[in-house]
Amino acid sequence: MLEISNLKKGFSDRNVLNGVTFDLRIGSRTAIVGGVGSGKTALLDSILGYQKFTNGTVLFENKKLPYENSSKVVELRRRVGYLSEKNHFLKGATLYNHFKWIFKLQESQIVDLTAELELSTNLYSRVESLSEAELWRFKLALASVGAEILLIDDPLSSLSFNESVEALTLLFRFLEQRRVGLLITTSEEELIKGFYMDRVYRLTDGVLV
Amino acid sequence: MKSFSLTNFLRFFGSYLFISIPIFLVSLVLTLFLSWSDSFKEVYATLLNLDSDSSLHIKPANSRDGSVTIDEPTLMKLKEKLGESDNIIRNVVPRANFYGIIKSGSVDSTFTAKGIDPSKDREFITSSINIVSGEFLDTRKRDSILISTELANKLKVKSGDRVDLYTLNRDKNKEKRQEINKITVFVDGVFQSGVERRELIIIPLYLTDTLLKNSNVDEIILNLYSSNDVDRFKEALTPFLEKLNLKVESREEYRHSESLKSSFIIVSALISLLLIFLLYRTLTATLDKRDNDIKTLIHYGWSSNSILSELSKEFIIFSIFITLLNSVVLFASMEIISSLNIVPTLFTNYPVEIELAVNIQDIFIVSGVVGLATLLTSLILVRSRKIDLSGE
Repeated sequence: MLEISNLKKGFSDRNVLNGVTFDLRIGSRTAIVGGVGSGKTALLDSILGYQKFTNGTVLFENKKLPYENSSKVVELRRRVGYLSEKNHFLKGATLYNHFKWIFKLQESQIVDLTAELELSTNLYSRVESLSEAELWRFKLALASVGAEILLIDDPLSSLSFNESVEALTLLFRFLEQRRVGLLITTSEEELIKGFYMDRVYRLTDGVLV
Repeated sequence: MKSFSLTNFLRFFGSYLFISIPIFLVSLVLTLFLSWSDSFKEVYATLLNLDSDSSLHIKPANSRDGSVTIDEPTLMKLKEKLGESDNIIRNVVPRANFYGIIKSGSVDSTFTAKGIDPSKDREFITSSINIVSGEFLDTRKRDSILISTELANKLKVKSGDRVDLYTLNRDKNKEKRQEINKITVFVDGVFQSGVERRELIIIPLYLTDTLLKNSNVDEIILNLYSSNDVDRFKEALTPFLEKLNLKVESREEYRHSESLKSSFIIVSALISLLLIFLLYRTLTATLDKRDNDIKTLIHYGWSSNSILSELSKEFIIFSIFITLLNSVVLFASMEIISSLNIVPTLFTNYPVEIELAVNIQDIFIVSGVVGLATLLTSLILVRSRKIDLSGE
């Protein structure tokens, strides 16, 4: 569904991505391991058009993605969920209202989704009152609505190692019932060792090995 | 993803109220200040009434100090001339102003008297003053006056009481003014003029004849049927008036009088700047509130067009809300002023003799204009606001 070829991205002093190539299929599990500052976030942001890359192509359903065409980018973002380090919430709104207002989900859909991700007790709480672990699960719930592929940026950036393991356990259980592709990045290879992955890449010197 | 803003209404309503409450408190304070400050009343009232005024004021050519009046023969010639234009003139209202001393028992006070024709002046006067006790002048009585509350309190009199009036001559030098007549009259009513410490008497015009021992008047007000006739009729009348050593002024000329010119410019500029600032702050604050929402919606796959469309709906709803709230706040503030026994209509009697009334309708019009301006500015701002698709 997504094919990334020879993606390059440089900042003022160095290139963080030096020709990254890989693909993502619906239902596949992919992990990218890289240290802090290795370019993991830049890679995910570039794929979704939040950051510009200097060279390379992204094919979306076998067609080159024209990032200057906003309708294509909007469609990409609807079908590719992104759980980033940043928080994207409606300040002051409850979890329920996020699903209702942004995605127009039915009440039963909201109840089922939040139950699966162990958020039932927080459904009518404001997002500001959630713990870090609850917040991560909520972000996952939001990112998963309508998603065919999920991009998850390093869970360790906001959670402890043990919390991250619990979160990934829940994530994999959640994905079992869904035909959704997964790309997860992490700075700790240990974190993903207990989970089945189709492919595990290492991002070193801007390339995947 | 049909509608974000309508279901999001209450949430935005809360944030809007949070921003708007201080702004409306400022409006409320301004309104109250406007009602208490004589200078603001004069300028504000003049601003609001200039365009709709359809009267002309005929005065002696050199009447600046009030020592020159229009005598009876001149008045007769004038009335004869004006009779030729009765299809333009609704009525001719002579006015006589003079100074005197009012006495009740052992207490006395100086006063400014305004001689009016109760049958023709009633509409104007009743819209400009508030009778707090007693009645308006009865045209059948020849010994009744109205006095201001300030004067009534000073003399400790109420409606129905008797008072003595002593008229003074019109000597330029106040020290040389002499009593020329005395008359005993009844206080028909006590009124508030909205101008603090104004010791004012409203007296029937025919009583001034007796008091002044002549039928001279200070000015003649021509109320025309249409404000469109003002300039044309004034031009046509001027040559005739010059022969009688009279002049004619419209309200427009008060705008250019030296005593008002600078205050008009300063006050208008201040009010305009304040309005622009409040409008700008309201809009930028509400838009800033939406920035985070916009980024969130973009992150979850909303297109910029659908966001703009929803925000435009949202701003239309709230611009209408601004207009309604503004009207309610202004109306409420006027009610508060009334309940405090401060007259909501404004009545002034300055050296340039501006006599104007501001009614609540005028304020609603201003409020409506502000609301409409807010609505248009909101739409322009939302439409022109560049939404970066990066959303980060």
